[in-house]
Amino acid sequence: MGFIGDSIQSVKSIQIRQLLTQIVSLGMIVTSALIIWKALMCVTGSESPVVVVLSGSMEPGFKRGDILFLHMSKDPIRAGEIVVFNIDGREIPIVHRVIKVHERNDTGEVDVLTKGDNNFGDDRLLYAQGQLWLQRHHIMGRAVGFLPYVGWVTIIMTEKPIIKVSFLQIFFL
Amino acid sequence: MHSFWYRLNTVITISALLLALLCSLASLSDTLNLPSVDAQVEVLKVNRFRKQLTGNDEVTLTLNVSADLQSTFTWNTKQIQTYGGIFRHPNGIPTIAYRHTLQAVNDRSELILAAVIEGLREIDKWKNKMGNLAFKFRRKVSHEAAIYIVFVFLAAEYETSKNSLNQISLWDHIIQDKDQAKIQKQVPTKYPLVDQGHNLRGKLIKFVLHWYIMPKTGRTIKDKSIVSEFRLPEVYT
Repeated sequence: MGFIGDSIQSVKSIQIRQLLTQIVSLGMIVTSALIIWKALMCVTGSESPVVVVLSGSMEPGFKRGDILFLHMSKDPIRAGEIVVFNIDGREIPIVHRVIKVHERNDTGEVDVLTKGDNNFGDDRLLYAQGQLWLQRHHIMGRAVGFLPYVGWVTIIMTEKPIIKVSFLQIFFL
Repeated sequence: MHSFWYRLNTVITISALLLALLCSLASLSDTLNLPSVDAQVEVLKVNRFRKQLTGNDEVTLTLNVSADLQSTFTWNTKQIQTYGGIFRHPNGIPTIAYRHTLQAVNDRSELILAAVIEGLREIDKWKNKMGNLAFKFRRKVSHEAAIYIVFVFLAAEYETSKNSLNQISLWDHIIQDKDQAKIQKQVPTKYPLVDQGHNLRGKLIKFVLHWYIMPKTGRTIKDKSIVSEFRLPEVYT
């Protein structure tokens, strides 16, 4: 009896240990992702340092599923730069290229007009009703780096929740 | 300890790390390339010079642009697939969303692609209007070719009493192949030069050629060269 009881106990203890290791390693993954994210926020000074391209309006430069690294510095915005901006009343930020810049003499404020490389016209149609220019506060950052394809992970996860669930299951197994 | 998942995890982690290292090395290697770009721009004709109803000056020009950007291409310069796609909606779609797509089907693939993007924008508007209606699209790949990417554009820059800098893109071009990196073109301005106000008569403007190199991965590189100056006429046409 003692032998069987011992082995049952040892099996039990192993399972608990394994479970604990799994929980800890999962916690490590989540927290390290958080650390990287927050560190990037500090370094780039941008609220969302990494964005996924969702539309084809910047093709052939950026495709759907590509990842852009943003940088938000005090440097003035200049024509040709690819900026990510938020329009009031629109949830999803847009990644487009600056084609016109007017910078004030006295205050240093800028009026910026953007256009997607692959769109026919400029973005005034996308802006809020009656809005002609983007100001500094609309702009979340400028694209400084580029990584292809990686963004598909998030696109697939948001569009097909089943995959996300099964992914989590694999983690817990 | 050395279970299947454990090994898989290790393999994936190491390969991701190596890939990240290789990507950053590839991006670093771009800094070794010091391109020298030769460019000339001259104004052939002032097509239109007028004051808009809003009170802003508007100029359109015909330009002669010549530039050699071949030295900007490195092995990390983006080489990607271009394709034209047709989006379909399985169970009916707002007609506006389809209009552009249908018009362009018989045209070249680039036009189709552009039209599709335009169509998608319309769809976006409809989505906003119609709330949470789900649209699903099927993309049909119809044409493939390998291309490189350098985005080049010509901007007019000038000062006014109100603005310390006005930067207005007049013409742009996506170079998709090293062989096409020698530009010799007579082009009308793609975007009109519109001032904030009416300060353009007799104004000296600088033409600046900018180029943006889009890498396969890593840092985007930008550079520019001031190519010429031009004094706008004193009177409206």
